[in-house]
Amino acid sequence: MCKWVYSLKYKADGSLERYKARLVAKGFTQTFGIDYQETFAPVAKMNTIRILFSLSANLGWCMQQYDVKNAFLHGELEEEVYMDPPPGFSHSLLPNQVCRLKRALYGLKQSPRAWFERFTKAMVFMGYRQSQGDHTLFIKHSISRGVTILIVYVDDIIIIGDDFVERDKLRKRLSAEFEIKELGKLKYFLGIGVAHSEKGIFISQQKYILDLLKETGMVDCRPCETPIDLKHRLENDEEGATTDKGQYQRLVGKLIYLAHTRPDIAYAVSVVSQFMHNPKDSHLQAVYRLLRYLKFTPGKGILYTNHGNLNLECYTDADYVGALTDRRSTSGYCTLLGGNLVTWRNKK
Amino acid sequence: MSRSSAEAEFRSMALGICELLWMKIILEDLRIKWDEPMKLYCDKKSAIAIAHNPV
Repeated sequence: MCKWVYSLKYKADGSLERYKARLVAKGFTQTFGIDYQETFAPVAKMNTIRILFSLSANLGWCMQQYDVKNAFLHGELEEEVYMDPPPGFSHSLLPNQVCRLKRALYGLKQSPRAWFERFTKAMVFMGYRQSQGDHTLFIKHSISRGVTILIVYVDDIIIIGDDFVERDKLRKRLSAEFEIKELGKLKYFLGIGVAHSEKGIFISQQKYILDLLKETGMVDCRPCETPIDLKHRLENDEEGATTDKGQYQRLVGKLIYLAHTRPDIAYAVSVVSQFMHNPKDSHLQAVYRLLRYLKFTPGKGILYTNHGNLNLECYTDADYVGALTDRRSTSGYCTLLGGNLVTWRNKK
Repeated sequence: MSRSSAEAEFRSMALGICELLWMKIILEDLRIKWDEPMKLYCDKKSAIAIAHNPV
């Protein structure tokens, strides 16, 4: 089963760039164990990406971005998958004939995994080593020149390092193997803006915040100077009016994504995400308050600068009596690499 | 559930150490040499004492 999906691609200035037509398989008709087995495929961890930002700022590495065209179509299928002929194609086949797929299609359950496997194979073949701390990270050291690092997020690729000869070689081999588009110096990745200056590298999600405010009708809201009430009692709300669960979960999901460049909202986000299963009106109000804080600080992000060292530090703290209902404490930490903030966490 | 504030702080130190160890794996893969030992900061003396003296 499959269908054609048509879409329009626009340039940044809003003019039409091209028409796209993509054959998409209906993955929901697949059955586990028959035409698919494993479906998991890793994506790059944000923590790894921030480590790479800190190293780049400290060591002066350069970051280039690429994307792979029609990435999933490169995946090789291990299972036997059959599909009805595409609409508009059936006249050239006998009735009751079907297609056997050799390569993955968009929409198949195993496509992301098949693509990642194919990509990993190609990288290992080129002499790159897959990191065990993050499987989407591939590394090659050359004896005299330096290092080349590649990190992949589905079809987005960042290449980092100081070995320009190897980078060039890698770029040529990748475009021979897959067809890739060169996007130049890393500027925008997964909704995160990356700005380079002589001070260092600055990452922020300003566009994402402004879009979120627009979407929630909060563009003209009254800004608020803090993300959450100091002495909130959100956990105690038992009787309050329930609110639309789907809408709440979508909103909080977006805030969780936003926290990639905003450690200042980590605590507030971890509080509001505790009520995903049964959100009350008071919780939704806390989310709106957080949006008003974002309105106050849309341009905030993290700056990665050269501190002249590569030391690892971790700061930890915990509260003991924060939660009144279940007495479980909240703990948090943040780690710095080379003086730059790379990871943090707030956990109840 | 923690029964004392030292225990709560100790738990967060354990979380922080996990993160440092993960970062160590990544940095070793990248063959990055850092100059000093990794540092873990905590603002509770009793939790630090427990961490120094695992019984």
